[in-house]
Amino acid sequence: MMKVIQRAFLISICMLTTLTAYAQQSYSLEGVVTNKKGQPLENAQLTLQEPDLHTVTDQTGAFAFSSLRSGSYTLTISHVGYQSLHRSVDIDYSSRDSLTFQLAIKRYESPSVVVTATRSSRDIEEVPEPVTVISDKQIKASGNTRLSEILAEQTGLTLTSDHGTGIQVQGFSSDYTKIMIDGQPLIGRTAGTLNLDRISVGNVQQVEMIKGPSSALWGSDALAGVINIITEKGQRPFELGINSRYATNKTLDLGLNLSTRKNNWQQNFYFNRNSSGGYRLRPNSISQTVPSYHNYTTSYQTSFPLFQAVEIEFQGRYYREEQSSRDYLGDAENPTLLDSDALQEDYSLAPTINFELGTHTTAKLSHYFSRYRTDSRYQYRQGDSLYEHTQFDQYYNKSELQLNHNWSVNHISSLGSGYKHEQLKAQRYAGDPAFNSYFIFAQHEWIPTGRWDIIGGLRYDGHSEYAAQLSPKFSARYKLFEWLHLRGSAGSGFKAPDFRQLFLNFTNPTVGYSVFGSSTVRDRVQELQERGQINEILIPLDQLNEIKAEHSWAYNVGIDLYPTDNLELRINLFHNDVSDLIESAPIATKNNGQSIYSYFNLEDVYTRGIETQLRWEPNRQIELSAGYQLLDARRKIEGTRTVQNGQGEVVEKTYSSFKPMFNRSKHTANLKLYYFWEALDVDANIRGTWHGPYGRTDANGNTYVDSNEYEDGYMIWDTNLAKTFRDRYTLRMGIDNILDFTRPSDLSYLPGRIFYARISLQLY
Amino acid sequence: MLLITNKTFSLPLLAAAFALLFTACDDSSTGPETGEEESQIETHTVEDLDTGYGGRMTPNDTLYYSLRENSIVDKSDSVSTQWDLAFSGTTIYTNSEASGPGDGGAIVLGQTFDATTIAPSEGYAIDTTATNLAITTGSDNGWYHYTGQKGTPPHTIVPLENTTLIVRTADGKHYAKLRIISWYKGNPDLSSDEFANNSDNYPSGNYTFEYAIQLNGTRTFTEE
Repeated sequence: MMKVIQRAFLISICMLTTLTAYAQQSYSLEGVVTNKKGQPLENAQLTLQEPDLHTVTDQTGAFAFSSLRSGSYTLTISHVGYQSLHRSVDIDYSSRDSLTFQLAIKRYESPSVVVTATRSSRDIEEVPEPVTVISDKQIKASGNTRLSEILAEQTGLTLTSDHGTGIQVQGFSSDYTKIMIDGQPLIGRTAGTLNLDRISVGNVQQVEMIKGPSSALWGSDALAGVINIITEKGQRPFELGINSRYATNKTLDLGLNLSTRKNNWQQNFYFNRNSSGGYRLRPNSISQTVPSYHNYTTSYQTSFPLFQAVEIEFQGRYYREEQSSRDYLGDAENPTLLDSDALQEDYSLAPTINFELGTHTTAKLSHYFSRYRTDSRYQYRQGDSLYEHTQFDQYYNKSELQLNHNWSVNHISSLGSGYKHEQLKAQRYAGDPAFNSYFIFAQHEWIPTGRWDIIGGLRYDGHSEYAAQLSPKFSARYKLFEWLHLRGSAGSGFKAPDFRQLFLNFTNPTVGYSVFGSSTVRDRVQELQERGQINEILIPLDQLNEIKAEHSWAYNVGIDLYPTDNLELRINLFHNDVSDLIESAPIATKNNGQSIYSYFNLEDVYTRGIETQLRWEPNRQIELSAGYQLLDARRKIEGTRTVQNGQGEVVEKTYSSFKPMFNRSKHTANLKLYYFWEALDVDANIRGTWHGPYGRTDANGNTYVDSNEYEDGYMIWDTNLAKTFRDRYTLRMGIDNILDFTRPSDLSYLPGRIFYARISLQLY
Repeated sequence: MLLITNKTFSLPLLAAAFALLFTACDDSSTGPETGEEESQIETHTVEDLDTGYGGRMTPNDTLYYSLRENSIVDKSDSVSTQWDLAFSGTTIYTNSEASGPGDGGAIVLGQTFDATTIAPSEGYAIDTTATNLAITTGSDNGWYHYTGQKGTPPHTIVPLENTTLIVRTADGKHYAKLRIISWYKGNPDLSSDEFANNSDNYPSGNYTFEYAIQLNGTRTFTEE
């Protein structure tokens, strides 16, 4: 018994000795953080993982972590106004020296990681798709506040005005580009346009853009391309920034960014108020070209680990705009004045759970809810009675599961599936129409060697109201040399028929014609027939085909050249074949002499062209970028014509040819020059865009552009100058549209010359 | 203000032409298809023929016109074969069945005015009801295109290019080819900013058209 006790005692002693010895083996990490000039940086944030340890530098830029065990750590150093630095540090016997870390000042460098191309984070130089990325630095340097203004400066993009500011991509009108925030679609289109003025860019980390159909990953609407806005996620434990901008036309923008990060719990809050007094391009007109408005954007994002390997993420966004304008009835000489108040509201909620299922598999389960609603009233100025009150209310729900699996370094698969439910409450639509759709997609990426990257994908979209869609995509990248990469892709895209094309139930009260959506037209016409109101049926009801989604096939071939470290040239050739574009056409005539219209797959279109993008940074002070797009967009014109034969007798001749489309410039180009004077913390830039001649007025009504129907091209130049104080306070002053170019007849979004000043304060 | 210009014929020639016309009409023994008569083509441009539309929402006035006489026919003669075409808003009637007592008719040809050298022998449509007309109504159906709300310029009537109307006159014996040039007073350039900004200066419902009529009873529009 005594022996047992003795042995136990001895073991305990031994253990104690070992523990003491272990405790003595703790290390520290010391160092200094400076800028590139060697000047110490105070208040630089340092995080050491794992576990999370934080510290900040003192006045001399010095920091120290103590009581560290030996091993490998990740060190992150961040400071306001500087690029964050990530280092892995091995702490062992040899690491006793004080380390010096130099941070580089934030410049207009292009970001490197994109998610839109593959639905997972990838290096932009790896993905085979032609992706364009606009960084937050570029956005801030431009001095702009809305997404429309940012996109207007990009190669190959043209703004359009039709019930809001939309974007034309590769010659497609704005209906065909999908707009997303953090991978979730924005809803609320009016006449096909999603108004890009709705989107504030004050909390944007980067805007990613894929031109060409991407329905294999993103489903409907991604026919011309996808624009995905990635919001900012704070890097430091606590960040607070405010900014304000005041510009011509009493335009005021106020923004607040707040973010916290602690033990992997991250929160980001953003608030923005934007208002304008509006403007008139025709000085004596009764209505303003763009009426006065004010709007609010609020968004909140948070993510935290629930357990090990389970992370919860939540995003919410709220937007509200009120706009008041003056309108009139009758002729302008003797008008009946109307006052209009329009409200627009949209909000969305998106909870997500991310799972790590072992070392090779991740899963993402998400739900997305969004509602968009408008409410507008027209009131007679005299008598104050109501002239018109219209409401529109749209609901969107989407549940989705995505799995990513790394089979090996060379094989990565993604598989996803989801369900969507959409509903509408509005006048002109009988009985709250709703539709359901479901989808499944798969993508596989194969990296056979360091030179090749090959991706194949397929998506199936089933729908309650129209024919199902199968969207394949294949793309590949080949590194011929380190400085020359080849890219190619082929894929298809589609755009689902919208609520209007499916469910519209509208009869013009004064003229008496009717328009019915394709899902309702059969019943409505039968109803009218039973009531004896139909004169003639032009297309027998039993011969009506189920409406199909608008569909495209696209081919992209590109070369990326990196001849030197500071020079980059990308050339991309594209060709899009679009079929089954939906147009309205008469289906029957009524006894009142008017027609009944419905929607049919009628039109064929093709667009093709070349896009080039050059970026050159000759030194640390200067960055130059230039872009050019050649575009040929044509629509198929076909029909029969009554003509005469050689004897002068009447014969019917069919014709079919592709003719140029309106509102598309064959040539567009842009040039941006940024100058950065590090010693004085001053930066300046000048940015220009040019649109070549475009067809505008169909003077002879043949629905395509003739050589005498071109409008002159135009140029817009913007410039600004900024001074940054103490790396965190920036004053920027600039002029947009220096040449004061306006064209009231069709470029209503161009307000003429704008002066502005912007103050950004990074408080923490 | 109605202006009728005579491009190719002087007044005495015109008088002679009328004289010949009456002779031809009186002499029914001469078949219209012999083709041996001397060509009697008259070419006219009629400017700003005001249908009294004046931007009102509903067309409430009709203007009757004789291509043979190149003159307006009084409304009191609307039930007669004196007129060949009647204009009301954007609608053009021929003097046939539902629209008048004549043997008129029309064909809308999808070819240029100049390329039309002979009138077809058959295929003429007539106005069977008040809405089913020889010159079909509606945008892109007959002689015009309506640009609609989204058009540039919006809500504008644009005469279709490569469109020629072949009109059989009310007496059923003569043929004219006709091209509508403008529906707005003063024949403005519809693509100009001037028209877009000051459309009130160019009242609608004012037809400007050119036509050639063969008065010798044949269908040819060539001189030989």
